[in-house]
Amino acid sequence: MAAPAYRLRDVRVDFGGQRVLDIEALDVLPGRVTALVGPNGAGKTTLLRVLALLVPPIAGSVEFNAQPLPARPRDLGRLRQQVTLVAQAPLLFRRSVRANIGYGLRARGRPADGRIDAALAQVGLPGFADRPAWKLSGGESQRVALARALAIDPLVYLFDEPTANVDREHVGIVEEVITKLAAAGKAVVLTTHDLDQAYRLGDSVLSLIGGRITAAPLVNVLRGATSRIDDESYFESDGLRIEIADGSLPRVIAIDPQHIIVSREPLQSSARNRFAGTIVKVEQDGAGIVVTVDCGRPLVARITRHSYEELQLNIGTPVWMTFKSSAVHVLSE
Amino acid sequence: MSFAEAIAAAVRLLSAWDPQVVSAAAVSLRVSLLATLLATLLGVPVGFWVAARDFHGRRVVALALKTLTAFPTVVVGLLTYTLLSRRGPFGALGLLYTQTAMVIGETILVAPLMAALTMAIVGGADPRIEETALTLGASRLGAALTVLAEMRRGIFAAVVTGFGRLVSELGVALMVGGNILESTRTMTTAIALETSKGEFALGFALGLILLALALVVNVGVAALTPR
Repeated sequence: MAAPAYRLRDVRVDFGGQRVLDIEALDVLPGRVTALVGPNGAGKTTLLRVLALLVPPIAGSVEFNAQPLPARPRDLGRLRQQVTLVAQAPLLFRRSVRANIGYGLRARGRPADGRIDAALAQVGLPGFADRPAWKLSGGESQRVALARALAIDPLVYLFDEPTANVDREHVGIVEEVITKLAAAGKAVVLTTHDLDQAYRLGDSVLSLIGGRITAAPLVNVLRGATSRIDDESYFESDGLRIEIADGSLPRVIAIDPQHIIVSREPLQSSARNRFAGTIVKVEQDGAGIVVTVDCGRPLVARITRHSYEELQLNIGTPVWMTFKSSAVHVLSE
Repeated sequence: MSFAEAIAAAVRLLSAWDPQVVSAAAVSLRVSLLATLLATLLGVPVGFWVAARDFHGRRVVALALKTLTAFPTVVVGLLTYTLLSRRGPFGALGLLYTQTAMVIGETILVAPLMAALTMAIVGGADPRIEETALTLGASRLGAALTVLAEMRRGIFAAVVTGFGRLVSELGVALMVGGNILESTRTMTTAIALETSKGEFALGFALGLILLALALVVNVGVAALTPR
């Protein structure tokens, strides 16, 4: 296996006395797409900025291509030329599209040749080179920013919400570009709010919560309020009342889809949470099956192909969803 | 001489390319342009540095620059005079009452203004400009130049403001230039002198040039900055 593009150990970043990033260990591999998911303020963008060598961590070690980061700003600048970051709301310079895309090439003293037109063609904007960048729509700007990154051909691509401002019909173009970059051996890290996209593009999907990488899967995320009745904590959201384990009072929870049991009949078990619903969606996901069940609000469960076939599940099948309070992750209190 | 007669005489002087008028205008322009250039080269980097870089004592420097913006021209004149006068630290250079002395004094006068204006412009710039430049592989210097290039409209307006202050400035020109005919006599020092002699025509002629210059500069700014 290729050496990691990045190796982060115990990396911490503070802003204004607040810890915003606390990464115990993270390896970013070349030829792979690493997708970062998590709620707003989880530290996704900060992590990208650390990887872009814009924000120095206050503690911990960052290795780039198996080398520790240099201390001298000049050397760091040279290293930064091997990375590029496409921001969520990218800024285009007040120049032509051509000057924008040529910027990184000029910074490296490389000739533009046909790179500018090629990059524009890749993002579906051929013939845009001589337009003034400030007259583009938001979606076009985002794609020009992508082309600007493609033109410089670095080792690492960092994308912050790459399709957030792209119109629906062009999302496919952007996703294809990202997939091709990884196939060409680039290390790609992207953040997204779209879990489907994270799993569709990501070779690995990392959840970031409160600046930490967590094991909590970010599906079945429910917002609501917790109340205590007879020493038990109940979380209520969308008409569902879910018993939760510890004495915390969460406002946002996630239920691990691996730990939801799907059955035809109500289960006799110690699991306290049990909801009836009907299957509204069935998808294959690697070796398993993901079923979405409408229990008043949709809940997603991941089951084995074997139990899927045994239970003879289909869209419209009435089922029971059962899970223990330990399957509930507290995301935010 | 009535007001109307003075204006009429001024127009006659202008249309005849009166040598005194031409010489004063040329000295004014040469000295002001050179000092503006020097003050820009000094003030813009300092202003950028104070606005965009974190260092110890930054707020003190920022306050000092803003205060220096209101430096009275006669005080700058006095300062430059003591530096360049025969017994001053640079007296041996024999620069007093030369155009060089005027350029030095006027650079001292307007460099803090250029720095303060640049500081305000860069402070108001979108922080994404520098960051975008860095993520595209620019050096720190390259990124700084990109910020200035993106804010070119404001920087240009600052340069024009500096030039406007210098070309209409009297104190420094008079004190370190000495108002020597066809050498250090500028439009403003000539106006001051001629008025004290009761010769209003030449004063009005030069005043009209100054007004025309202000108009040209402002039209130029408007034309050069789209949007």
